[in-house]
Amino acid sequence: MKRTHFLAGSAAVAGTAIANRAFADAPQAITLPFQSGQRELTAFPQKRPLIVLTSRPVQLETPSSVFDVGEFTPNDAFFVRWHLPNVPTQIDPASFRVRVRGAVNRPADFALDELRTRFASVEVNAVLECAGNSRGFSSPRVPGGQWANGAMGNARWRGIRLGDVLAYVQPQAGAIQVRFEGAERPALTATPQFQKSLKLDVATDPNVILAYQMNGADLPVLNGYPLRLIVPGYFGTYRVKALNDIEVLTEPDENYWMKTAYRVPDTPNYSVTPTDSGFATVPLSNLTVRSFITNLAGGDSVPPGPTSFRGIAFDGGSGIRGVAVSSDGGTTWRDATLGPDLGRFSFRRWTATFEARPGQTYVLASRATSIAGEQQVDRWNPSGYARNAVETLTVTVTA
Amino acid sequence: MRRATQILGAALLIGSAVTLITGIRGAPAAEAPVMITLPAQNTNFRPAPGLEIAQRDCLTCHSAEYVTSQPALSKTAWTKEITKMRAAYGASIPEADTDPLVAYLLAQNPSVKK
Repeated sequence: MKRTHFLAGSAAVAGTAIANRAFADAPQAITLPFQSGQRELTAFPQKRPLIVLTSRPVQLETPSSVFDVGEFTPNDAFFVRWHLPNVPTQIDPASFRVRVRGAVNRPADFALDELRTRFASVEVNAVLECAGNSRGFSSPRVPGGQWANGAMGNARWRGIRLGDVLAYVQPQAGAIQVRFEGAERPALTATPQFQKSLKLDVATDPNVILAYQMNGADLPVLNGYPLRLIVPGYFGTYRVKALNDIEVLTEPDENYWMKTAYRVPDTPNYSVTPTDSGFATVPLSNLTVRSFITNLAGGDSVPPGPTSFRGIAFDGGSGIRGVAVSSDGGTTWRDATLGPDLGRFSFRRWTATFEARPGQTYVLASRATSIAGEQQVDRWNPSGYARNAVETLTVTVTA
Repeated sequence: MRRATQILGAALLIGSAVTLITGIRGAPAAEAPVMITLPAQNTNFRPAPGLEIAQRDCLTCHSAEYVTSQPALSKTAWTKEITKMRAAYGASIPEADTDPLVAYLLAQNPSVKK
């Protein structure tokens, strides 16, 4: 609807085809609704123009209007978050190998074809969300990647079960964790290599896969071609891209990205106040339950009459029990109608209506509850992780 | 958040949400190498005294947007970020650069309250 009003310069310049092409190449801009929210929109390889959070490391945010198109986020609009500046840009799938080693009886180097032929192919619909999604809305603000709500997406992932690969290599007695590393590299040798680890019982969960396709196509390079880890229900940080090294460990992984980064206060809702200090921390794990209105944006105006609004909801893997909606800023709530259930790790669509009276203003909100009973809460932590507050947006009705 | 671990644990009880694709096992066709070219990194720090220090100390590991997209951070917060870049990521930011770099980072954001 009015989302395009954020685009600085739109297709107002009709002109010739050549002029249009030139315009398409020109940088476009968007202003996210928080301080320092100015961003460029740039088309990176295999991607449509996306909101550039940082060009190095490559971090690209999905514009909010994309989430209205359906349950699945198109590959060319899917957000991108690398941690290190040097990402693979030339990949030969024929010579690609993933090494599985460590505390195993039968270490192996698998070619891509070998993985796909030796192990059963499976599919899972799963949300991928960055731990810092929506960090820009933290109040008070916190340093870090200043995402709005577009560091998330949902895809149909196809791959092989990590558990099948681990069974093949036979973890030894005493194995407790599995560490993953991909092909991204730091600029400095002193920078810790990006590595993430899962407990062995999580790694062997049948939903955890090594994915080589998303939404029926090869992974885009910037989303981890040719292979990435998918841990449905867990935050994106674990889903190592361009995965080429898997190591079974007998000691807890104490690398920087596990021991120091991506940790949250070990408190209810991972929440503290800005003056708290000295609290214990734990590694992030499951996504928190969220919901968004996708067909309207704050500041839109709508004609009078019955007005539909719709959106998406998801959680950390129990599934969505219900979505309540409000058109009076949260004073009263009623149930939205849920769309098809595409699996407990997937976006779930919902729809609702409100009666828009001429000249009035409405504050719309949605609030999801998971099957596990989790609800959206206000929280604050120093890294801005796991935000899942109830979002509101204001629309006015034409007279 | 004890629930966190219980949710994935519940997966084992509820059963697998993954779908077994039958009939597609077998060697896929050979694929060609894939090559992409990334746009150049953005180096557009905002003008303010000390700009050349930011250009020298920051761009090795990340582009300018990591600075320009930050909200109005305090002197303490920026100092902590520099310490983090040095201690956690091994950035070779000379100690002598700390104060002028903090001054630049504060000055480059016009929203910062003086």
